[in-house]
Amino acid sequence: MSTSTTQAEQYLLDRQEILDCIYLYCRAIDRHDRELMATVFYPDAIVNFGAWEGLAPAFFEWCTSLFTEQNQSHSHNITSHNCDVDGNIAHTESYVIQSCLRKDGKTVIVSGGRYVDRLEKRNGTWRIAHRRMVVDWQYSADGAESHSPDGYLRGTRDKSDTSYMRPLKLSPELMEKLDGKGT
Amino acid sequence: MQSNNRNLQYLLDRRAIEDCLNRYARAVDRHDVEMIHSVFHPDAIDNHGNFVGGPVPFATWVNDLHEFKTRIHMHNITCKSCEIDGDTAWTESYVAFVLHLRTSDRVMFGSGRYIDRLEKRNGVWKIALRRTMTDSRLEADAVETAAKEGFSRGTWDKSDISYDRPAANAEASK
Repeated sequence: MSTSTTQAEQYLLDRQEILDCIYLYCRAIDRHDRELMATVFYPDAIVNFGAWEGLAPAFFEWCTSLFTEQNQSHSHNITSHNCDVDGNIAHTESYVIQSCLRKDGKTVIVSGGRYVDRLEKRNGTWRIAHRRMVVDWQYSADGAESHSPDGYLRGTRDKSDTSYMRPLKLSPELMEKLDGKGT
Repeated sequence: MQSNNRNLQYLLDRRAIEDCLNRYARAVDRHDVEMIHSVFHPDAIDNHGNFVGGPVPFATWVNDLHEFKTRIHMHNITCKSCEIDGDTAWTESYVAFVLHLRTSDRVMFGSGRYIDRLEKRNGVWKIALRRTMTDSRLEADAVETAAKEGFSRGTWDKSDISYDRPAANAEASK
């Protein structure tokens, strides 16, 4: 960062980077992206997730294998977010709504919780140093009729997911339908 | 935080306004009277359904409502829009709320909006007028499955882990 960065600029950059980190966690866990997750947590970060407790790299392995075993798909949505920055430490609370489509293809588990995090800025980069998860509610619902594709893209839990596509393009079938105008 | 740079000041204002709107959710979900007061100017008016009044009676009303009528509540702030005109800001914040009433086996999911006028007084943005809207509500059978896997549940006071500074380490959380 250049020496001309003002305190106000630095504060805004810090806040944005912290929020980006919280969002990237969702992307990393929903796509089972180990590499991306390594940019979210420090390797020595401690994660408390219900009965599970341990270091971040082991958390990723545990969590993704559990999700693979239990769910067809899952998504994590960050909503209300509060953040106190104190030098190179930030305390944040980020609400999350999680929905999981179970393996049976008809049970959807919807839950609401909060990630309570301590982030640290080390060598100019903000990452999570400690995460504690609170689950405030969790309900099971009948999702049998609500995930019909209707032509919508379905996500995958690997890098074939459309969100990784650079540059973003339509499928060849759709491009043909549009007579090449979709490029 | 203030800046002489106009663009920078705009971003600082936007950030402070958004923080205020998010803090509201945290404040009501934790029944934190002080924090509820902190998002409003003292002479602010909140119109919430049949309730209309200042921050002090509002805090009592909303905390009583959540405490005595619900088992679970959560206010998720999603889409926000904001127009700033000098020291006044007009905002709309979507809220996806979850309420589990004490009297019901069903859980309510709702979608609403907070329509606010915020004012910057002495450098601090707070709500001066709030009107609330409910766009949809649905009730679903509540088969509650939480708290079976060792997750901590939130509390409605400052013993909630989100107040810990610094966050207690893993050992201390046991």
